[in-house]
Amino acid sequence: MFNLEEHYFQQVTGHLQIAKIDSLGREEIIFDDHNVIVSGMSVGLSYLFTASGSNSIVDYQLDRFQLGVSGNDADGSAIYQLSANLSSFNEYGGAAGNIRLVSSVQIKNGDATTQEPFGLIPHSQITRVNDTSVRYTIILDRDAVNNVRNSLPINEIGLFMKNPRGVSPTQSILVAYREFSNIVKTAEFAVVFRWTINF
Amino acid sequence: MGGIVTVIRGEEIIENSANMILDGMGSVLADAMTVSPSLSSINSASAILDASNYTIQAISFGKDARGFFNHAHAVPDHVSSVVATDNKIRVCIPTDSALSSYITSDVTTYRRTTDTGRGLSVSDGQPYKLLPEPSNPEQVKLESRFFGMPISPSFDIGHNPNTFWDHEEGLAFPYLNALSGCWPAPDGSDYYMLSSFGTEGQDIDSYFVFSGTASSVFNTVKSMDKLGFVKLSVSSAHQGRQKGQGAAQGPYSGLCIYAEDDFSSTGKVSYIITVSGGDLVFAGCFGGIYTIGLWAIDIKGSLANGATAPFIFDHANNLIKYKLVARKTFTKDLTWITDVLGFSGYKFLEDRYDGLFGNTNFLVIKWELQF
Repeated sequence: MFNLEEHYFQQVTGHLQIAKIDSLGREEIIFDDHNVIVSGMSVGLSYLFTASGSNSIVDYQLDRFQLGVSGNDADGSAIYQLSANLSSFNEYGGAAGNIRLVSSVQIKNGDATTQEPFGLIPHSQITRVNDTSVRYTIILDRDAVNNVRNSLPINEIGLFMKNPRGVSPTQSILVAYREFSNIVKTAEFAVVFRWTINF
Repeated sequence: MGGIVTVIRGEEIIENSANMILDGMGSVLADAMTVSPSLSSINSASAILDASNYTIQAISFGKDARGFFNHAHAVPDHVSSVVATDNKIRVCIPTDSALSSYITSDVTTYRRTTDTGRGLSVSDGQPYKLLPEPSNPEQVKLESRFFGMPISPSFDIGHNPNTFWDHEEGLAFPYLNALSGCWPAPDGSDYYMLSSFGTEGQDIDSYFVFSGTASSVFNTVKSMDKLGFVKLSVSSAHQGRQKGQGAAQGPYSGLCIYAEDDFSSTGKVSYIITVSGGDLVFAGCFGGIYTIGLWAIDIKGSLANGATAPFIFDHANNLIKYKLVARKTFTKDLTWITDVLGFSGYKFLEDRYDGLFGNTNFLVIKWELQF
């Protein structure tokens, strides 16, 4: 049978914009580029569509992030963790940093044994941009992420799906990743990540 | 995300090619990612957070938009008036063969003059070109250029409806439904193949070539609603593995999810459905199957239509609205069949799964999505 050509592979894509905001509120775009949608997105969505994971759609939402200090894109979509994520609440700024933090299990290459710190993205900062795109806004205010070990710059960020397997305790999986140019975070400025995922 | 559609008849793979994932899929996922978790604290709304509301829930079958102005949908007035009385659908076989199935691709002219008042008019005898429209990501129904039915221009679902059989017992068959089609009753519906429609006043049964009775498995198990949406009958991959890939028949004649144990590594999820011979007969008489679509729930549309979560499928009065997420077109009618041993090929489709050529009188469609 002759086949009509219908080879349209709908990719989930993403775009990350990073802005620096000084004490006077002036904004400077310091990064603006695509991201990498990693294999964890496929894992999460396959749990959803096979009805094999959580029964609640909330567990499939991308509601948490990690920052890191050793960004690289060597492994492309095969990445399942940041190269060197911030390893403690203190590095995120603790309570003073105004980031709601949680420690939960992270799925790494299929294994789920390691507890890691995550920053939570308030639902009010998850917005519908258009019919098929969602923006995640992550704010590091002037009190956040000023205590990174050895004063290392942050240069990688990951977006995570909450708990696609629907297990307890929560197991989160990396779905999108991007390395970026070094940012040595200080109390002089805030940093805003505007991460748009196109489904 | 991508998809491959495999169509199997008997032991032969008659189709294996890519589909198109539509913007509707992205829209459903964006809905999933932005629905407020706080709904969990509202008793009347918490069911909206059920994950199944954001996954594939139905499949439908269709043909080219202009096919709804031809075939069993659009017969001359003197024929439709008889159909309204006896509820036996009729098609004119456009071949010289004395015994033949209804070959939809042999139909080259319209059989009825119709003016939809929507910028489309067709005339009896005017050339008819059968070709479904190509897929484009922005499609929201199987045929965007669907202009309704000849006697129901406002009916714009875009695919084969299921209005021939009255789902609610005890009510008379409206004249309208017999020509809207497209699937027979569970206890059998008659179809006639004529060599000519004759003229007004003539006994059209004088042109009788072949007739039969087809039964619908979809309507027997009540898995298809009036608008032609077939629901999910096996709703998880685990259940699908327990029943096996061949489960999409009999009482599970609906859409069935199937995935291997390693689905989280491969990202592959299949939706399998069997279309019985009886259903293929009627779909063929009404113009064949040239397009299929996978649908997720349109939550806003369903709520606006009076449905409440959890969204329960009701074959007789389904309030659920759906959003098209994937589409596949074919250049050959899936209901096509050849005559066998001097008998109309449709005769062998009538016997459900145990006919003379028992393993060829139904169709298996396996739609594999990869995330």
